Amino acid sequence: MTLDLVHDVQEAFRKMLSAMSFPGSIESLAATASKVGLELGYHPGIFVLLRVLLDAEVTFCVVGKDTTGLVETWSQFISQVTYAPRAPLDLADFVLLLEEEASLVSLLPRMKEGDLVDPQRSATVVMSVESLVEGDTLSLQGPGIPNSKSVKISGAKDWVKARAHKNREFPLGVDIFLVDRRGNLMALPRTTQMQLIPSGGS
Amino acid sequence: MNRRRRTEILIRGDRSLAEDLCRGVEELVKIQVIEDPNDGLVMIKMRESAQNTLFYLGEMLVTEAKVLVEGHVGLGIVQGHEPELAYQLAVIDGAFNGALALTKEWLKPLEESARAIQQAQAQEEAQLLKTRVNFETMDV
Repeated sequence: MTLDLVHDVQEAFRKMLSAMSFPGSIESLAATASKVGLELGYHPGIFVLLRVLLDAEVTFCVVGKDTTGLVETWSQFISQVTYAPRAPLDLADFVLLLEEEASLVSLLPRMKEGDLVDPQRSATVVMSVESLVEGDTLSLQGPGIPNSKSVKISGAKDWVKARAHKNREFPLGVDIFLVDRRGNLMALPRTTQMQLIPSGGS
Repeated sequence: MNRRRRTEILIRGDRSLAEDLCRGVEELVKIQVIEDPNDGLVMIKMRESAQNTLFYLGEMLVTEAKVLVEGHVGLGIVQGHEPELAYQLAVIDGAFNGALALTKEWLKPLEESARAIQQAQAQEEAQLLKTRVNFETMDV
């Protein structure tokens, strides 16, 4: 059986909502993702996320290093399945980094961050990472986090500063969904402050 | 033949044609289902003739299905609750999008079905015209 567009999508939405409300907490999309049954080239959990987020009324942009021409294939597929139109990076409502090596740093400055009257007209990033269980250690603080929370996100040290800069003028900023290879989900709303904790020993 | 015309023929014509074409594809390649046939509602967009503005006439029940035919997406949408037809339309659409060789043999049966539809329509119109009333008015 394939993904149920009502119940499975709703279940995924609840998990995304929880992840956004309690930044740094991890939800698992693995069970829902296993119903997708398609060879996508990226984790099926991300496809589930896209079925929740994308429809004919929002735009998206797939970005990546694209050494294989897959970005175009993925974009066409996503557009055909969700009916969401594509848009250039600076106009897209959703920016999808489906390749793990895609560099968030260079892309952040160009994404929509909203304006003071409509801060919600900003881009939401959906990003594929290798792991949300191992990697660079970070301390998170902010709304939804009692005191602080320690998390691990692989490759985060590359973009922590760029993200902080993009989100420096609240309410403007960008929100991020992270999905790792095991289907783990973590969300980083613009209000969350991230501090890189250098690994012990030198 | 464009997608619109082909879909119209498959829906309005004898449904066994859609069944046969779909089975032809299934026997040849493996079909992956992206979306099982499911019901949805679409708003019917129309243009009114007074000021030529767009408006929504109302909602319409449709059945929608999406499949992958050799890596090509196929989409089937049809009015009403018609899960089998929606699936068949999706498979046929996928085969056309992938320009599968067997689609070339489909032109003939599609055109035959189109002729049959036209004939049936002409017959119905002829029946209706029999009931036409001739009015004559007198200028007094």
